[in-house]
Amino acid sequence: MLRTLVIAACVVALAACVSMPPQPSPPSAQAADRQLLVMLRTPPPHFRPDRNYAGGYDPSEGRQTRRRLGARLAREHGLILLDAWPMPSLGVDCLVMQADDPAAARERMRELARDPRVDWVQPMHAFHLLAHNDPLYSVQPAARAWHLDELHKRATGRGIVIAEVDSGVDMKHPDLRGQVARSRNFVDDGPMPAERHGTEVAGIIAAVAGNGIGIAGVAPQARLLALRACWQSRSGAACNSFTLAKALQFVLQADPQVLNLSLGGPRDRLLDRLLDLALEQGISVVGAVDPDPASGFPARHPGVLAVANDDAGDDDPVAGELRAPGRGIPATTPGGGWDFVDGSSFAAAQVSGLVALLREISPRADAVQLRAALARVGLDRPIALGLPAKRPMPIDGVRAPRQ
Amino acid sequence: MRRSALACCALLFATQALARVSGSVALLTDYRYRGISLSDDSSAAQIDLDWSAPDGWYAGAFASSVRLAPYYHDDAQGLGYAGYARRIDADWNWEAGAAYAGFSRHHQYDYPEAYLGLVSAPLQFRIHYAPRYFGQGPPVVYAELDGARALTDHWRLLGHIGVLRRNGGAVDGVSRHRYDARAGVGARIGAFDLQLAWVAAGGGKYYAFGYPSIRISRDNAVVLSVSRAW
Repeated sequence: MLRTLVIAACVVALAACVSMPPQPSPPSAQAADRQLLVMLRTPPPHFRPDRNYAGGYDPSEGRQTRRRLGARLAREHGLILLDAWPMPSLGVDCLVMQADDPAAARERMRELARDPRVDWVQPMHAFHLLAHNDPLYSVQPAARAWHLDELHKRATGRGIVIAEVDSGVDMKHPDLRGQVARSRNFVDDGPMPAERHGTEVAGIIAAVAGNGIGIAGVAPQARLLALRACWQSRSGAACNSFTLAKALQFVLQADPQVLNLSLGGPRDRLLDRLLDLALEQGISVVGAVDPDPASGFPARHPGVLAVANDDAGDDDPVAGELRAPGRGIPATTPGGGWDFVDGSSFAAAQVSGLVALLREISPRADAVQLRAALARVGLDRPIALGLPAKRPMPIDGVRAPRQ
Repeated sequence: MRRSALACCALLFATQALARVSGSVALLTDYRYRGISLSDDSSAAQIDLDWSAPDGWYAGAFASSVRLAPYYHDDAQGLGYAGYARRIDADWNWEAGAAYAGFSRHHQYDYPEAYLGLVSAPLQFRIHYAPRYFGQGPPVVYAELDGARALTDHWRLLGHIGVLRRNGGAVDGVSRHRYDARAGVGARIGAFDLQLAWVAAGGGKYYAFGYPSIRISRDNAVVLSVSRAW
């Protein structure tokens, strides 16, 4: 008994003595052009007599092995290993490596592509959040255009989980209290900071309704997974392939019904594969349309519900693009405030809320049925959502389960 | 011939380059194996070494301090295992393998076991078959389900249920089944993993199944463990 107590005391003391790792700062957007993402195929999980039922998605599982292999590979190719993360849904480990300059990164990428130990290698892409944030541009609450009062008599998003991959969310905001089921920070090891874009999107989707303050979210009884993959900086809000991939891997494990991606950037092999798995899993993915035609992710990914502002031009629309109000949308802001915001980010956030309502009414609706319910079918121009004269949602929301 | 040998060496080297070697050391306040204490309700130290290749083959060795009947001297258990795992889809994979457990002082308890498993990230189901459980026991089948659910970045809930059925070793009035369950929390603190779990067992008396124990082990126990993986 004494021996047991001594060992127990040692165990607790040992664990308490372990210092937490230093908190790294957010990745530098400028460094992205000399960084590479290197994928190493991982062995499938298997029987381990030592594991004591320690299953589950735990990024620290095998961390030492992953880092050891990654560091060796990086050294052999004249690179520095910056980070490593498991992507069990793809059966790979994702390693972030950095070269001295962009030209060296391109050269090392060609070398790594020929290395038999490497499953694939790709550049690190930079992504950005799609907000203009012109305060008080106009007062045009989308809730009024979509007759949310009527809609909420049928559905409020109860039982629906919406993953928001964005910047940090102010979870103490009075209009968001209790609305975030889980939160994770994939940018650094620190706590979730209250950042502007993430808080705005969260409020538009799921702000508490009927609490006498602020706004009502489009799906006020849905619960959010607040996943910070983007960070606020002086030059705007940014994300990269690695932080987004970590968040998407988490989404695959958490299996929400809806995924909101109010961001844009270039096509990215790793993110495309993770998004394919999310769609296969039946997750409704809503992506904001980036006005930059060179941007491919996520709005131009097949199966994604792409959403643009309803006043966007008709030049080069994304196939099947949906239109929703994107200006003068009231939103929650960090520190317990509210503001009016503009951008396709927020048009997409509203559609994510609408999709949550539809998924509550018709849990098994697929992307085609949802698109049909969200829009007038058969239009050969970008589809308009939320125009008062059409009022498609109350009607189509009812129709969706029958399709 | 020489070229073939060189090709084989190159292939072996390539496989080794892709394969991963990992391991762990652990201290436990009680080594509970399927609900029964193999450390006489006292503490134990464990070490594990694992080799696994991306093509699915794996092998490893595990050792633990134990205290077994009849004298409950300090002893050591060694367990070697090997198997093959294959992905079914993004979430699930199956595996098949075999293990052999041996004891440094009590070779009469040595025994082989085979297993089949269906494994995903949060759930693991395995069924084991041992023709002579702990060397002198009857043939047994053990089915187990393990689960884990992350609560936060560092904390997770752990659960396990297992059913052991013996096919022989007739003992009057003793059930053919034993059950064990485990519920607890795990925490990742730096490089260390802490687990605090409540372990319960019941059903047929342990001696009818061949367990190396003559004392009445407590049916329920709280087990604290700390491990460090590399």
